[in-house]
Amino acid sequence: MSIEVRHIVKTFGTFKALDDVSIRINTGELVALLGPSGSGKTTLLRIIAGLEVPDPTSGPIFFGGHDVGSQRIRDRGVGFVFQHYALFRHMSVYDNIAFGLTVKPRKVRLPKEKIRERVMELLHMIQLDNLAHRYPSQLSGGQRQRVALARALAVEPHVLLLDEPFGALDAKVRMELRGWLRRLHDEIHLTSVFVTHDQDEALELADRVAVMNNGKIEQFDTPDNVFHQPATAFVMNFLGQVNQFRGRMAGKGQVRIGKHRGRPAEMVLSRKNWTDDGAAAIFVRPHDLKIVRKPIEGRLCLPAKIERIHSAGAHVRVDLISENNENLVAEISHLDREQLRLEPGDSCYVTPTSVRVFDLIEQDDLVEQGAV
Amino acid sequence: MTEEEKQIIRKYNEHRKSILRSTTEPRGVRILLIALSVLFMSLFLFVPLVSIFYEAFRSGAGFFLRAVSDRAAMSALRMTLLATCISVPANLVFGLCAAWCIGKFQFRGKSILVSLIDIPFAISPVIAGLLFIFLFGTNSLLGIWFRDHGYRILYAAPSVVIVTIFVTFPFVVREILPVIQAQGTEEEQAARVLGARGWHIFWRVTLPNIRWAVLYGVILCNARAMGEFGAVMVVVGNSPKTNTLPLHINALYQGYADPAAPFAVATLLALMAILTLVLKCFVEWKMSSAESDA
Amino acid sequence: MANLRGQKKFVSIVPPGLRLVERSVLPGFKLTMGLTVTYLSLVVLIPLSGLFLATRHLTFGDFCHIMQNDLVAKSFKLTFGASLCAALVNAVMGFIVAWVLVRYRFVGRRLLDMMVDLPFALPTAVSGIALAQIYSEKGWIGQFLPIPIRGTPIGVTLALIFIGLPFVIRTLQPAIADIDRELEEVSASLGARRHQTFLRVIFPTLSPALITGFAMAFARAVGEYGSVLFIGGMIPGKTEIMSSVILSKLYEENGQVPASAVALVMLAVSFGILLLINLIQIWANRRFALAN
Repeated sequence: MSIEVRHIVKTFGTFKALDDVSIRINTGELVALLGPSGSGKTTLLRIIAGLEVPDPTSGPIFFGGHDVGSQRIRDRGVGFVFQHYALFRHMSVYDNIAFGLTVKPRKVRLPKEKIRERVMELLHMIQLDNLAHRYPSQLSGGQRQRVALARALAVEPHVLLLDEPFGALDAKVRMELRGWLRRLHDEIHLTSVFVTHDQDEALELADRVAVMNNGKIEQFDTPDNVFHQPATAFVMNFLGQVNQFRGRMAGKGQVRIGKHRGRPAEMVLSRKNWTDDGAAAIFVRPHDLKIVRKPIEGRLCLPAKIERIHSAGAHVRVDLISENNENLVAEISHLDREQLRLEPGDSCYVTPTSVRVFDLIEQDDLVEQGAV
Repeated sequence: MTEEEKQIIRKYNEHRKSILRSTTEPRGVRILLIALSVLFMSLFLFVPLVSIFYEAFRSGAGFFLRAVSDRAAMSALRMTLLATCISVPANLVFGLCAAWCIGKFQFRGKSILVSLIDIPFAISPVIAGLLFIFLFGTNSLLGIWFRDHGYRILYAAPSVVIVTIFVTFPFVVREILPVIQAQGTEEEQAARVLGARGWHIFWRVTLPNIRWAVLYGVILCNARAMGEFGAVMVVVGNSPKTNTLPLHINALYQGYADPAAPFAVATLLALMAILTLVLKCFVEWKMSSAESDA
Repeated sequence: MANLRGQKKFVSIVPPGLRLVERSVLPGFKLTMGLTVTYLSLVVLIPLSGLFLATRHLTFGDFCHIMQNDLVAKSFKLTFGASLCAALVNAVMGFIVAWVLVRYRFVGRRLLDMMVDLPFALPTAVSGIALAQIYSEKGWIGQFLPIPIRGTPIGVTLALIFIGLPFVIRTLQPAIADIDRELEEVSASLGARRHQTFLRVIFPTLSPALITGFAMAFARAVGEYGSVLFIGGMIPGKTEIMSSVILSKLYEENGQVPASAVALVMLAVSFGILLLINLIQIWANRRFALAN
């Protein structure tokens, strides 16, 4: 079932948690709400579930085309999974999963046998067949979260909502459960939304990712697109490590970064005609920053000094400091490092192979984008 | 307000109600429960408290003043203060000692020690008094020894003090212990590493952290010490000279005095109780704000 | 010197499992432990042993004989019956009041919350005469009631409700505050109606605290004396409770042995309840604690 919310606003006292948010999630999609804490992602999820009321000026909430805004949570048909599982501690695993089935009105309640069958089926699905009579306190974190998921699925919800589902688990279990959830989703194709602050989780698991900041959705797109074509400076900054330069747009598609031997270092951006003479923010990913020993003619090369080299890993990470005292990070291959014979303290040049530029309108307000 | 705005607000309220309905009780039930609680608490707590003051002043303010300042009342007040002033500091010192060794060290038999400290809570006041009747009675070795050396313990001030210490024994330590355990020992160890000595650690590091809990315990201990009735009654018997305030109230009530007289004396203790509640509230507020600061 | 002592500690050959005290850098263990144990012995343990010494001449036959005494047996029935009723009323009303105080916001909530401790703070003699006064035939409440309260078992029960109320409320309040709101939300999302959520999720979660509060109120009621004295009047065979039987036996000739026999029963009940409370807590911790 598709989910659509329009112009949702939510304020807590003076804090604007959601600022005119609209989003449409297609049937069978797995969507991640990604953002730093306080960005409003959990609030949006809770509003979709019906656990929170949006402000009166907000637009409607549609499930499969029906406005569910004035329905109570128990009539909405949502499965909700909490970060800390929220399992009923006084009930066994079996009773936890069966709960939703046993609280149904007598008329529509399944007979005991049918409930049993359904629960055993779900236990099998979460691979905990043998633990039906354990209590939540006797399970590991990963097992608890799977039980919570089975409990939510037992009532056959129209949509599945997960609030930081892996947030309380340790790294290894988190990875396992992530893969498991993806496979499960591919099997049952239930429209699902999960909240996370972990970009790897969002990019790896979701069909589409909504990146949120300050109560707004900055970008809603496939993982590939949000990573490679970030719509805003925030998205660029939030996803993965990034080097940021300050510069000025100089018209004619040129951007100036800092100064080099008294003259501003210039770089030509081919695709866009800059009309303003405004401040710009230039972003370069570490793997797009090349290190060279000598400046290359016709390319923007900035002098820098190597501070530290981390070579334990698949790539070599080089911490540099530019002439303008900006801290830079470059990621190069082990081969390059050997060929260049880089050592801490060496002077060298860095040259970006791919950049993204955003206007800086009024101080630090990052808005529009340009491309190389 | 335009029609459209009204409609928006109506829709919003409907929406809000529908969501609250699933995670809280319906409005009617809430109002009913609040009304029931207020009624019950009023009948059982407010009315008795108010009635004390009402009855006390029924025979006029002059009578009230005479009742609270007559010789027997003054002597009872002195006895109550004596018992309180000895038992509260004694239990305070004990409470700090016990909380330090139980809260800061790991040793065998700790839970047994904690249970033993709790015993006076579990014992009925009358039995508490009975224990001391047996201990200092005419048949016991201690009783004989004290009698032979000319000391009067039972039916005299010493037994009032001792029995008050007994019944208020766990109050201070019970309040300090959870706080001192929650604090852990890291700060003390840091102080130790910085070269502080034992007394310094306690005085400068531990005590500031637990001061509100200590005060809390002292307040509760004090209220119980001033108000103890059953236990003191057993060890004092019928000797008016050693009456405490609660015993004096009993004597007035059972005797042929004016019916307002016991209530007049009771106002003193009721005021103490009100003061206790206010202080308790204040300390709880202090403790919770200290907790949220941490 | 300090250094030497430090070294000595290191060569200690006592295996950690057998050591009585775990090593600590903090000072004062011996001093505080010594003081604690001494004071505890003087104030509590020695007097307590006195009671058991006093009952050493008590044979089982005597014991049964004392218990079968009509007045004693009646006081038993009254004490336990009235205490049970009072604790039950407290459990029900205490639950409602605790729920209201934690969950709802209304004018006067803070005052109501403060008043809960009144029975702890008000000396029993004072609350006793106040209750006796308002429930007398001409009293503020007594005049509206069709049946007499003073000098009846109902009066005794009322006094016991008064003194036991804070126990239930004060044990339930933190438990209610600790309930994870997510449990209620998840229950609603699974389609449970509010009363189903309450009965199947909230109530079972609170039951250990409720039973603990109930047991504490009951234990306190069994041992209560002061507040019952005035409203009940301690009429032998009618409103006389066990504490009062002990007292009246004491004033009789050779009354110490029967008094101590009754006291032993009361002590056994108190300790039994204490044990029960501890067992509930252990059980609840095991069942409900979600240790990560």
